[in-house]
Amino acid sequence: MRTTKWIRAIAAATALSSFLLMFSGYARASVPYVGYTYDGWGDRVWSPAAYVPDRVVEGEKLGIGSFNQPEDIHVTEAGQIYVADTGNNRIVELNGRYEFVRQLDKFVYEGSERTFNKPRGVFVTEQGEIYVADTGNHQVVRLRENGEADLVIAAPKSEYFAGDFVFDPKKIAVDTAGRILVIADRVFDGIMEFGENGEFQNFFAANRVTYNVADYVWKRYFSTDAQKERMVTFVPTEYTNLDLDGKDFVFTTSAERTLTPIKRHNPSGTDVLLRQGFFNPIGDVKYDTRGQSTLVDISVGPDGTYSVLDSIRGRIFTYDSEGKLLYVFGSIGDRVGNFKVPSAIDQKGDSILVLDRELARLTTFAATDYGKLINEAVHNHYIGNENRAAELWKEVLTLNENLEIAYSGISKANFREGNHEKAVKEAKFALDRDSYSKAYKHLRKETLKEHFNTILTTIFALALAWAAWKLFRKFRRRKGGASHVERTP
Amino acid sequence: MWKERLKFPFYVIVHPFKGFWDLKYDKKGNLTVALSIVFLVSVAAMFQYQYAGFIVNHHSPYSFNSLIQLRNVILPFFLWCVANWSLTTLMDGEGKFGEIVTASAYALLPFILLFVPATVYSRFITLEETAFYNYMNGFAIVWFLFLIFVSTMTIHQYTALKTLVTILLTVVCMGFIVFLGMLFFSLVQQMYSFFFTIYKELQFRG
Repeated sequence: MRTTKWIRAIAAATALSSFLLMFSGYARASVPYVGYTYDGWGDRVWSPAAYVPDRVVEGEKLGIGSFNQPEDIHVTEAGQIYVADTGNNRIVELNGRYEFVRQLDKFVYEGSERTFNKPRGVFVTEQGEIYVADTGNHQVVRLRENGEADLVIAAPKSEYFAGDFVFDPKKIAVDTAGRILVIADRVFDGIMEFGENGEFQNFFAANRVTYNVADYVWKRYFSTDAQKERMVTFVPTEYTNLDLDGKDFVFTTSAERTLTPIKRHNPSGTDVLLRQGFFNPIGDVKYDTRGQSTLVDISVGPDGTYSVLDSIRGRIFTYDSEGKLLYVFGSIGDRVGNFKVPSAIDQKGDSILVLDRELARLTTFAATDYGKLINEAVHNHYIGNENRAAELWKEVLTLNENLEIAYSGISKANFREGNHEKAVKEAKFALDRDSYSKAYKHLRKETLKEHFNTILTTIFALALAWAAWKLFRKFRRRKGGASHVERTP
Repeated sequence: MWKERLKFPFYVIVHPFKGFWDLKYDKKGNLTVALSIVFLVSVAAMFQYQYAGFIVNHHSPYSFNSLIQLRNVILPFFLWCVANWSLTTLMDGEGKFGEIVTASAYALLPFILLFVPATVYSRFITLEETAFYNYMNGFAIVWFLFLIFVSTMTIHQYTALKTLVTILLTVVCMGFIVFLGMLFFSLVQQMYSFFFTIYKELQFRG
């Protein structure tokens, strides 16, 4: 009797709470991961999720048969989505509402019809030209909007390449000047740069060879020729992916475990990425035995932000234009919104799209209130609207008190307003020593000015007291005071 | 009497050659004062660790541990004394253990004198002025090294070159002692677990 009453009460409570959850703003309470950031001490700090899974796009539901090991995704300015469905030898186009538009599995070139073979990269220009890294056919193909090819780039003939060079393009990007940038397998000299008409021009942004000194000395001086042959050759790191920002600067990622896996190259190929956060943008700062994050793709967002995709832990790291970590989300797993082997990332408006090779599906993530607030604050900071940014950061802090970048933003706004005392305090919360120093310099000056009279009076009074004391002692000594008498034991 | 004892370390750090000579031959050093100095140095180190200004303090407040700070000063100090004594006994040094402890402790005094004001100062500086803070700390170290050099030379009546060699060997010797200590502890641990296992075995059978 009693137990049934209890059970009934619990059941009612559960039903009520799940009902409330369903209709509250956070209906998707079961986000399959926890968001976090790193604080200035390098410790992971849990935070609300900035993005939550929104929808899952699978080939079967689109009516075109399931994807097979899709490797790349590209979203155009207009919101059209192109998926390189590698295993099915086709490119799939979806519209902004994630509905199937068409699939490109063959193209006409010089009068004959040809098919793709394991295309691993796709890029679409603003003019609607579709560039495909047709890996299996060892070529790059440019399609007009009607699906007709007007350019095919095969292995370049140049003294840079050995006779047995095999051209396996895997990722591709084209800038507004028509420069075609291709990352190919086993090309260690950088990104291959082709002209508008497909002629090979140069290597762009060569990665440098990295090796550790001990290995080098060991190999160079202490190894026999036979040993040397069996050792790994020191080669520069290969890029894993690339993306272009609004200024045609090239963002790249590499899977190599260095301090600079993310780079931003200016037109002459120099890395100009800002790294002003507590830590270099490398993905996870603290990690387990699986090691540093393996970054496989990068997507440039608005306001100088960029998101990178870590394939071993299935996480997405978003940084602002100064290289400060904003939020981290995502994970490997079996639930909706998890990944198995994430292969590509891109952004569409406020959502982030992640393609999974193993699960053969596209997952879209929508910004939560928390994520939207941060994005907006970053935007306002980026355009120099510090006051509005500070207001937004304050709102962010009501959702996550531990976000140091928010305190930093508030500190900067306070500094501009001339409220140096507050700026100093907030900068300390933010562990932002530069801002602290700047604000403190002013605060110190103000305080000294304000108390100038008191300070001077105190010094004067102390000096006077000291002189009086000296005089008093001298007077006593001359009189033969007790202080000068030797004590006898 | 105490007044002189307390004043003497201050005399030593500014007149090291005469000071350490007096410490050895006029027996002016005092062990209580010396040990107090060592303790105060570790307090000064703690003070700087925790209270140095925000600009120069890169220590996480989560990781502050006074015992570790105590260990960082007191353990190396006694290691130094033991290693130095062991070596100089073999190398014709004239110093007794007590003299080594006292002289080495007096040589640490600059740390107290400079760390504390540097720490207070660091709370009122900007990034550009950190150089002066670092300079103060650096000066404390240089001063200390000079004093430890002079003290070793005077206490053991060595030449300058022999002093340098002795100091280097002492540092190596400190490493050896730490190594042997670790070895000893790990062996004791293994022995303990061995006997404990036998005891458990007997317990289960009995």
